[in-house]
Amino acid sequence: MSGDGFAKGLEGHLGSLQRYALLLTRNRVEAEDLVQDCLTKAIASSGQWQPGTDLRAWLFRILYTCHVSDRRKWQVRARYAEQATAAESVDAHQMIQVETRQVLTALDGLPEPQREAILVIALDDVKYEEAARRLGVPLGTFMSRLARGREALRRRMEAGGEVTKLRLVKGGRDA
Amino acid sequence: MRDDGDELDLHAFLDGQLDPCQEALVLARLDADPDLRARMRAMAEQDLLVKIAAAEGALPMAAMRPMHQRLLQGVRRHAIWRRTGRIAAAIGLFILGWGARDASDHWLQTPLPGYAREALANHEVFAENRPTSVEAAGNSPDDLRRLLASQLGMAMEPPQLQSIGLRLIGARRAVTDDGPGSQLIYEDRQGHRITLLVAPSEDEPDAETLALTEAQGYVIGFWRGQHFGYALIGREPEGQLLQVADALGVPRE
Repeated sequence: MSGDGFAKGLEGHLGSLQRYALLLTRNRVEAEDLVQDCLTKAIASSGQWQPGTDLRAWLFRILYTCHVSDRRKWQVRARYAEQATAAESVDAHQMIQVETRQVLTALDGLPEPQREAILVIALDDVKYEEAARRLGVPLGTFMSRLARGREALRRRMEAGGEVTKLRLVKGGRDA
Repeated sequence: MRDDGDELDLHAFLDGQLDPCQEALVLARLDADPDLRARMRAMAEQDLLVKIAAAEGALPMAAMRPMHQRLLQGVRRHAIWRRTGRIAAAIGLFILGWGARDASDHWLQTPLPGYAREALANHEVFAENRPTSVEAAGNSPDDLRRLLASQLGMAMEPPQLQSIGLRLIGARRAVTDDGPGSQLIYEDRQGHRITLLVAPSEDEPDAETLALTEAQGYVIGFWRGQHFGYALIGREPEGQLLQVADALGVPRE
């Protein structure tokens, strides 16, 4: 994909990035900053993206990496402002790997219909009507399963994540 | 959790299913409710992680199997063993170790081999979806070779099918009951997709020539070579798939 093509691809996914950023951050200003950060990094590393692969997923990973870095900074500022720096904490990519394993484990424990609803949307950027058709269920049933599945997943992550969630290894009060 | 329209709207917002007016209403609710914002932040995080895992081939196939099985319901087998004198050399470096074998036309009585079932599931999930998520792009031959070698344990050259109008989009890792495999995704000029899946296969002696079946609008071609099982998936009718099989030099009769 040419530079123009890459730029158009970015533009095409801007809405999704903004939507996720609005949910990941505390307000619209932070959301704008997060998207800006993501786009800056995407453009700087555009040479690493392989044409023909999923640009949307590549951008989501960058967005999530930026988010994890920001989240870590908030945590550091909130808890260990005087002792720690972001550099002392766990690498963002490592953190994403651990969190991915956690969410997949939690996903595996969901009832099958809910897991299917989450997966069919995760695998493709399709309209709900199409997702429901693929699963062979009415639209309302699909939406209900998706909502219940995500909520169940969140609760599982909340319940199980406390013990195993990756945390700062240096700079804490006991360090 | 309230399973009402408001709750469903939150998820529809996350998935980009709302119009701008509806989105504005959801955003206003989020601005006014810190607890709701925190809940949706957690859901956005987990949703992104699942999407990243899906794109990077990290989803456990076991989790997806029930969805795949649905695709296989109502499999209609109608075709038949065929044989041809063509041999693997027809596709150059690609390793296909099948041999000619006596077989007469008969209805398939055995279930689809595991690699063909996985091929159908992978095709529906990964090849038919747009944008297509591949782990090695078709225009990166080194990456393709690395992926194939790492999955299959031996050097392998991805077949090029431009001569019959098919462009190689790329490859993904695949998982079958018999071990890791690779899914190669091709596209014709009309945007129709074909999957070629290569994976280890337990001994299935009746599959050394091309067999065809149909399932839910897809044609499934499969055969077993010296080292691996091979499966082709494409849309009906079967003409294009047979053309691909011929280009690959698959024995059929």
